[in-house]
Amino acid sequence: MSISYDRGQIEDFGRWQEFAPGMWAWLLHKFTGWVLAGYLLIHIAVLSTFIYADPAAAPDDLYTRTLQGLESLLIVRIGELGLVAAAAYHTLNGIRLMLMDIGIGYNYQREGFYLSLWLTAIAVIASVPIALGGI
Amino acid sequence: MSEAQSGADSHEHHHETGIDTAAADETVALTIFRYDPESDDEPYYEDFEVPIEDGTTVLDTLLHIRDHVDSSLSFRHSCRQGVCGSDAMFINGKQRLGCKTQISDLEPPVRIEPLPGQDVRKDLVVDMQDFYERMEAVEPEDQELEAPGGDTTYEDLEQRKQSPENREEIKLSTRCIQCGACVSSCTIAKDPDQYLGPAAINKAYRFIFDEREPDELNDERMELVEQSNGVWRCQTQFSCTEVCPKDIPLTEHIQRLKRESVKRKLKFW
Amino acid sequence: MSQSRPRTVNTQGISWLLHRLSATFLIVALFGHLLQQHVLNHAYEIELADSAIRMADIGYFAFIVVFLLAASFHGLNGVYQATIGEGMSGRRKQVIRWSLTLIGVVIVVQGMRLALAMGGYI
Repeated sequence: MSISYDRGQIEDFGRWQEFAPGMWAWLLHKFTGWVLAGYLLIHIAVLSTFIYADPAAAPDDLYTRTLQGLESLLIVRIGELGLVAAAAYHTLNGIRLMLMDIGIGYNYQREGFYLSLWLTAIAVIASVPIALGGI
Repeated sequence: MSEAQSGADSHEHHHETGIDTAAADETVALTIFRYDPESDDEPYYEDFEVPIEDGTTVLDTLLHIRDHVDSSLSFRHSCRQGVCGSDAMFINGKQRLGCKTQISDLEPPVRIEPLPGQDVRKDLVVDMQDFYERMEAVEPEDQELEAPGGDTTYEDLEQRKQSPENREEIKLSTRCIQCGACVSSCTIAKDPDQYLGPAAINKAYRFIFDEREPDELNDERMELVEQSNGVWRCQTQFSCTEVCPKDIPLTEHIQRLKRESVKRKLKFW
Repeated sequence: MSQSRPRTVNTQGISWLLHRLSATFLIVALFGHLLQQHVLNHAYEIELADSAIRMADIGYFAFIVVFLLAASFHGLNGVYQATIGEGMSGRRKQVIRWSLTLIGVVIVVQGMRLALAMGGYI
């Protein structure tokens, strides 16, 4: 057993400029996945105010006040746009992955990733009037 | 490089490197990872300037350095034509074969490093033992290889025929030269217990979809790649497919094995 | 050179398949959910009674329950793949396993409680 030198990590994240599209797709998929999983928790938490809301107090009950209160904040509306971006990308890249799971699209895996990005951008832009409506 | 050519030429006779140093009027700047465990505490990068001509490969430049500049430069090479798999290196940020990579395709200064992910023995030579263990890990335990000899004659052995269609199906997977580029590029394949890696799984694929292989052996191979360090670890990152010098669609093969595994499971219901 | 061959029960094929099936369902369900909550209605105008009426409809309630279960499975399994599924061992693996299990239980239980409350079933 000769002395050898451990060079460490396989893909040094410092080399990010050299990353191939497939690697970006994977990184973004993981990132958006975490965002969406986190959102699921928040969503259930927020909606849970229903359980403690007094229907007799409507429309000043805890549930209505919480939801409408949150929706009146610009930062929440912008957060919702971010959520649309995350959901759109994760869905579109997910479709790209599932097509490949059944054997379709290997020759266009890079183009598939670029398409996901473009469609995500379009989805976000299309959602702006809805997201900022009534603010 | 033939005798007839050297008689007719007025150029210098070619050295082993293949670079005709008299005719070359261009040079390329190289930055090469150096490390000698016997004399260095830390690795360092050394710069070289090497003459080039049309068709000069990275391997040519390394051979030139070794022959004319610094004979201590260590690297693996053999066939010089992309079939032995010895000279896989990390060139300008990507895993490539030295003999298959044209200098003219690279942006100078050309940065040459050993494959990431494996321990470095010296300079550009990495420890490949880990890689070979992965390749062995997909071999079924009880393979009986029948060959003529002793009492067994050719007539005793059964000829196993393969249809052209089946050959086409596995053709790409047979091209693996075990260079190690794919495993080096995969962020999941840090060690064999974690993920066997694309090369090993491709090897299993090559036999599983070969109609000549007996079912018992393929069942065992399927079991081996279905384990926790097998196909399920693939995250469809595609780095392996990007770097494979033999253009094997590795990710596709791994995905096909996932489908195959699920199909076999469902049959029991 | 011999090496240890880890023999594990292969549930991974099934979870791989379920992950894809839940994904397919979620694509449709999420799109419909967003349309309903933000295009057909306006989220900033939602009141308690609106949610209660919607959930009282048994068909819609059933859809929401399936939606909850699919999203919980897909999300948890996804996070599992992104962490333990990339190879982990020892204490770290156990901590993450238990954390995910706990969070999973909380999401499903609380989600069900919420759905039942909204529909007026409890």
